[in-house]
Amino acid sequence: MNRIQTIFSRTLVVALPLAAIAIAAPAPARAQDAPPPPPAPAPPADVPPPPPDAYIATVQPEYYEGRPVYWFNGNWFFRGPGGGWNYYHTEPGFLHDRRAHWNEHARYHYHR
Amino acid sequence: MIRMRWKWMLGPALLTTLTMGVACGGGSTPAAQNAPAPSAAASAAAPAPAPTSDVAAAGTTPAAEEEDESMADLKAHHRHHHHGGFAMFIAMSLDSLGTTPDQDAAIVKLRDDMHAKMQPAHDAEKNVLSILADGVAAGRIDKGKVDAAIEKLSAASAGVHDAIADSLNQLHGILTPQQRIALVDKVEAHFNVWHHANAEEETTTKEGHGGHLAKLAKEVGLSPDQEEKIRASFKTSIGKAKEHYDRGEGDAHLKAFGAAFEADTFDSKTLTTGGPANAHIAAWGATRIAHFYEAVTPVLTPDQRTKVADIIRHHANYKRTPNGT
Repeated sequence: MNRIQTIFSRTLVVALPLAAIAIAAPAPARAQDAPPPPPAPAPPADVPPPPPDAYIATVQPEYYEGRPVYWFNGNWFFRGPGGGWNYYHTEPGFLHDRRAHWNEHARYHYHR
Repeated sequence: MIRMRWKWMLGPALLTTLTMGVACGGGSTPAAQNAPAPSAAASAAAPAPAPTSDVAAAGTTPAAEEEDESMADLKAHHRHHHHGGFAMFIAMSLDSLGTTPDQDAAIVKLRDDMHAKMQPAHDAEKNVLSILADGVAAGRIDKGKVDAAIEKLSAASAGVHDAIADSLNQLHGILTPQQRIALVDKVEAHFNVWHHANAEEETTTKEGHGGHLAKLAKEVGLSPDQEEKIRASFKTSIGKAKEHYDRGEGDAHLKAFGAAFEADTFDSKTLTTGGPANAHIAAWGATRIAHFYEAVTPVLTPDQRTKVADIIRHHANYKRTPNGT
């Protein structure tokens, strides 16, 4: 009887952690079976278009949150992590205050 | 979009770490570390960045251009000046970074050095334009001379990347992290403007985007019939050009340069794509404009030929201003 209990206990010692791991880490298996994530929703039609390249090339940016930002057509634009353009949906107070000075920013002219 | 801003992906974690540091009595805030250019006095007083800025994705297509004088000047510049390729785009980008007075002296010195290193390519480009101007004025462009001049321009531009490597390394050290990001923004923008201005297609209809021919038509008074003949001739001619521009090559170099330059450490000498990328921009730009004026010349009146030749000579003799390119 003791021998049977010992074998059973040893089995539990090995099996329980394995079961715990299996229960705790089902995500990869599910992820493999899961359908691919839906594509990112298309931006609404009223999202503002980013500034033209010729504008970015010639205007002096403002700097905020460690990056250049550009005031264009009523919004502050900046490049996002993937390289695409983002804008501040709600204007930060600092940029709101700086907007009054935007016209002082130099536009460079490449005289022909 | 060709860039992945890898540093920004670390942003939230970094911000959390820094915030914890401040909460634990850490000395410097993210705002202090990312202090903007001291010349932008108000920016220097920028508050610590709000960790939850309300941002949203913008559209993917840039706004239709309501072209102002500055933008029109830039396009005209990029139609006629290709020497140096990306090196020229970098030098031009220095003009509008918003550098500080402390930085300005070093930047001016660096830019002068870069232009000195680009001078052989600049001279080679001037030679191409001068040959074209003489040909337009005479009513016949010497294609053999043009091709030989373009080859010299290409060779000169190929050496620019290595020649300015030390200057770029110094520039990286002078600029703040956010100015480096701005510089990469601007180099990409210059490249896009250049590519658009030097596209193979020449849209000349009134409904079109207003290419080189549309502009020339206004400047020298081309008739609709002249425009149509030039457009047809150019389309045939450019299709047979020996060399065509591979945008993918430029994108690859820009991606490599952008990722490297935005990093904390930078060595321009590790970038291997610069020489060919610069040479091909210079060669394609000169090839395209040669084909353009070769298509234009036969249909011009003598008076128009004089005007067009003067326009080309004006570009050939372009000299940068003391504080610009």
